Amino acid sequence: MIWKFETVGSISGQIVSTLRNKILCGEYKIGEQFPTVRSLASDFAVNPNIIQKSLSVLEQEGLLICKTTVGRFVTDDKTILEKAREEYKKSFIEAVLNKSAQLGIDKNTLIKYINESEVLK
Amino acid sequence: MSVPVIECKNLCKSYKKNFPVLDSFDFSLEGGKIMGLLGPNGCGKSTFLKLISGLLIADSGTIEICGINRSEETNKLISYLPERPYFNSKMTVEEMIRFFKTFYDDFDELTAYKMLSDMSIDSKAQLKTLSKGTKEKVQLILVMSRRAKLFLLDEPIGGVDPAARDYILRTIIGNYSEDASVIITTHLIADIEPIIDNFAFMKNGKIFMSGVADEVRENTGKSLDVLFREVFK
Repeated sequence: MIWKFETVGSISGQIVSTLRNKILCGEYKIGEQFPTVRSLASDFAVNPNIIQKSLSVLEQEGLLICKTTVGRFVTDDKTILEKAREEYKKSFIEAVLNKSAQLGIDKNTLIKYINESEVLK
Repeated sequence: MSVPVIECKNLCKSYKKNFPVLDSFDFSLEGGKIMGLLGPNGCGKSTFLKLISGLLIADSGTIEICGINRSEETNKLISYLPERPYFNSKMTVEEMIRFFKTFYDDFDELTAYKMLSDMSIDSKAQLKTLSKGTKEKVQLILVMSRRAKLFLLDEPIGGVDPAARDYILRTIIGNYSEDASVIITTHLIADIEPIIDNFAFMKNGKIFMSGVADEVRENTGKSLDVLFREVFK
C-alpha cells in the first residue's frame, strides 16, 4: 500500500518524523545499518530525492551517520539517542497537556485518568 | 551544472491561425528529476509532449534533448507514453514485446516480463481481449522497460484502478535511472505529489507557476492539489 501523507506540511518533513519515531522507539536499533534510499523510496512510494533530503535532516540531528561507500547507520552514540528520546517524550507530553487544556480537562481529572489507566505501569 | 535533459525556448504552436496552443513556451528540466506538468484540459500539455517526441513540429522555437537539437537522433533518448494506445489490437502482448525489442536498442525484455508477471498479465493474450486498464498497464510497462534518458508519460494513471496506480507509481520511481528524467501529465495531482520533484502549472499555453513540489508544500502549508484548485477555480 502507498503511504498516505497528510495534506498539510512537506512530504520530507512527514518522512523525517516517521523515521525519527522509528529510530527513537528502537524499531531501527542502535548502530544498525539503515535501509537504502532506493528501498525507502519504494516503501514510501516517494521520489528518491525526497528521501535523500529527509535522511540528511536526520544526519544533521546526529541520529544517522553516513559512512562513505558503506551506507547509513543509526548512531552508536547512546547519549545522542537518549537526549533525542528525552526531547521527543517531552514534546509528546506537552502536546497531550495542550490538547487536554483545549478540551477543558483540569489537572485533577487528568491525574484521575492516569491513575485509572491500565495502559501505563 | 550539467546539461539539462530537456530545454525548450520560445516554443510556439497553433493548430488554427491566431489560436496558439503553446505561446512562447519556455521549459527546462535537469537530469534525475521527475516533473509533474499539470493544468486544465486543453491547456497544451499533450501538445507539448508531442512536440518533444517529434509527432508534431513547432511553428517556432527550439527544443534540445541532452544538449542536442531535436532530431531522429534524440528520438532514441526518449520513451513516450501517448495519451491513447496505438497498438495493433490483433497482436499479443508477447508480440508487442518482440516489436519493441527490435525497434529500440535500449529495451530491456527481462524488466518487461517481470512487470507483466507482477501485475498478473498474461503475455499470450491478444491486446483486443484485454480491458482498457490492462491495455494501459501493458503500454506503460513497454515504455518504462527502456533505458531512456527522458520519459514522457501522458496521463499514465488515468484509467487504472487504485491498486494498479500504486504499482505504476512505484514502477516509475523504481525504473528511471539516476540521470534520466520523467515528465508526467495528469489530473490526479494528489496521487503523483509524493513522486515528483518539480511541478509546473500550465495555463493558456504558458507556464503559470512552477517550483519544487515539496518546498511549495512547506512554504504555503498546502498540498499541490489544494493549490491547483485555488489557482484554477
